[in-house]
Amino acid sequence: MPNLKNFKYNRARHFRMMDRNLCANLIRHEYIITGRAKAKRAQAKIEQFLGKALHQNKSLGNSPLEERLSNVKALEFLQLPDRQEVGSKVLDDLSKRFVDRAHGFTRIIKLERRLGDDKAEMSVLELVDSDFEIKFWYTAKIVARLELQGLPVDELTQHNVTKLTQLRINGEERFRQAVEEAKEVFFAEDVRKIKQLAEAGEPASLEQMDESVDLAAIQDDWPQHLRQKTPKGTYLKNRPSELFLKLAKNFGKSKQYPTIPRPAKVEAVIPKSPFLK
Amino acid sequence: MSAVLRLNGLLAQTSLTKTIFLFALPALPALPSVSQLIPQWAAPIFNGSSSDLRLKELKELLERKREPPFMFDNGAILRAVPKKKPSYKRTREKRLAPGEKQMKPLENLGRCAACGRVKRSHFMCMHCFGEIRAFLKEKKKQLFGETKPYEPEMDKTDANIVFPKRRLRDLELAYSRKEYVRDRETPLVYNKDEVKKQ
Ligand SMILES: [Zn+2]
Repeated sequence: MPNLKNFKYNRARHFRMMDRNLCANLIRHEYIITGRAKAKRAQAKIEQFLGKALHQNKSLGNSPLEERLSNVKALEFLQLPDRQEVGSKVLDDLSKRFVDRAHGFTRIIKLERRLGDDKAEMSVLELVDSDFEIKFWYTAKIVARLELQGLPVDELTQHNVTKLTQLRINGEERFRQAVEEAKEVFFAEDVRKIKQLAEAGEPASLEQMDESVDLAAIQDDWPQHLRQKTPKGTYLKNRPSELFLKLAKNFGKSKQYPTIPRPAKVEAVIPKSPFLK
Repeated sequence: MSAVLRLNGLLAQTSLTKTIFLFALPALPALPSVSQLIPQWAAPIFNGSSSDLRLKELKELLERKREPPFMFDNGAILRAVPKKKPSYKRTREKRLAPGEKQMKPLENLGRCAACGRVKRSHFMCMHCFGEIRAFLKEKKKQLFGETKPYEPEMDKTDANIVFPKRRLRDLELAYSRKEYVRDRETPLVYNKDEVKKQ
């Protein structure tokens, strides 16, 4: 990973512009895919910018947008052509989304290396609590899969779900919708098969979910973006291992330093002063 | 000593079997002849003080024609060659001893909870990522319509100066299409017995 912290003096302006461009495009598109070094460098700057801008916006109260756009000093971080478009999204959209947040507006997800010439480490830089959040949909897919398999949601996944929904507006409802959509989109064939079995009056079992599905025959009425070149299958028979479930139970607890939960606080009773009559 | 032996060997070959050396390289201009290159300690061999018949024959030939009958620098260049063949052990050691050159086993393989395939731990499953990304792209398209790639608004003459267009050659075109970049393979279905750490 190249070091983007120490650079020559004459490249400082280029580096500053890189941060600003990444910032503008992240806010525009909700998530961007870049190299690891750029993402890590830009993340810090973007957090700083959003934190300052939202704080200044809050202090201005309910004044009209035009006025806030000119008064929020933090927007000067953005380049001049982006300031109107991106700035209004920050003050209008994001200020409503991040009501209870002062930091932690972005997330970096590590991807595998790029398959081009440079084999660069890639990553996703995304805004949290958005409708186009990769981790949100990934977790929705996990829950959809577990529900189709008829398995309970394990502790690790549950932890992720609470983290994704707790500060989101209508978080739980939106997550529920996403799970239903994920079932239709990513497990279309399995849903169809389960329905068929239910109509025939047989209980659906995982053993019947055979992976050798002739996808090419079904894919004619699928949306274009979900058609696969080669049948891939969803392999619903493949379940989480027992070891994983055992480890997920103790997720977040240190094996080396097992902690005992703190006892409930007892209300202190202040004795009556002897000087009072 | 070895130089003398080699020269002797050459002499023996030329005089006895009359082998003709054919050089594929084009003739170089005016290289120094052999007699100038021969060191002083080797001179008596060529001057004929030795009683070798072959050398005497060579001396006669040299006197008759001004140039020697064989020319190992005629048109070709003598190159440096390794003195000895590297042994099997040395070659293998050089290749296999350094740890960073060896292929390391993937210890951090786990199961993707969303598709049940093999995935590197702490990394996004690229199979799921591809599916989700395609899905989100389609969703964005339905919500906001098709987005065009950004193109700066410019005068035509300005654009020609800033982005001068050049006709690419066939090879450059093929390279710019990046067809040589391979597609990512679909990962295998996770099986506990097939990964190293379980
Ligand atoms: Zn996956």
